Amino acid sequence: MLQSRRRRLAIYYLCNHREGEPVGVDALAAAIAAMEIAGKQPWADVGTAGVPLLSVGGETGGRRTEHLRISLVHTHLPKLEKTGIVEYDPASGTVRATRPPAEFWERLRSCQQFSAGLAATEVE
Amino acid sequence: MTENGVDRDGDPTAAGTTQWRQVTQRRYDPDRDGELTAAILFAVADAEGVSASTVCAPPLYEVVDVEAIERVLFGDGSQLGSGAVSGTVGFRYRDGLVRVRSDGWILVYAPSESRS
Repeated sequence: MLQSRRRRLAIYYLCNHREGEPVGVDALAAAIAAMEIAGKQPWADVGTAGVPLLSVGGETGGRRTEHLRISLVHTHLPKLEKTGIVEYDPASGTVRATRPPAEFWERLRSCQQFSAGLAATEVE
Repeated sequence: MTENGVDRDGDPTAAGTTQWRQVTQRRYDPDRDGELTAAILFAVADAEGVSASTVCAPPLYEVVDVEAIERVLFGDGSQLGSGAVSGTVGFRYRDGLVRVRSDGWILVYAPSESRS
């Protein structure tokens, strides 16, 4: 589930910058496209504040946003919905995170610590 | 997806009396398309003569796990067209038939009007 960078970015955006509020699929696609182009790494930026770019312009950005929207509707959002991480309503075209940011990141940190323990490395 | 049953070769896409004619094809280009999902949707939209944005139902994920197909056929992307994996994955989507080949070509078929 979290192997996909796009799904990680989607979760990050929905949790951190929308705080569980519904967002339209188009806006989500634009935000993820902007973060991809900016080279954002959601794991490294956990907990950091800042206003993300909400959209990208130009032909390249527009095409990426359109492709992202299609991938979200047909692959990523159904997968995320299935695990209960987000609530996706195809009828209204909106999606929102189901868990508060703190709880999500705490669970993620637990997973990271567990994995690190297995790998015998340290996690900050 | 068993409305036509399974034919003697076990291939559900070839079952029943449906004849298929190829309508369009598109080469998967990760740099241009991003992910295989988008490439498939663009090919299907082209075949149906509509905009890709209007193809919403059913979500492709309800039919096939496209990411699994992408991993099997193309690995992490660097193996696309390398010949390491050979094969074709076919599935019914909406009213058509989609085939994804390990060389990256996506072919979309529509039911043929004529039957032998």
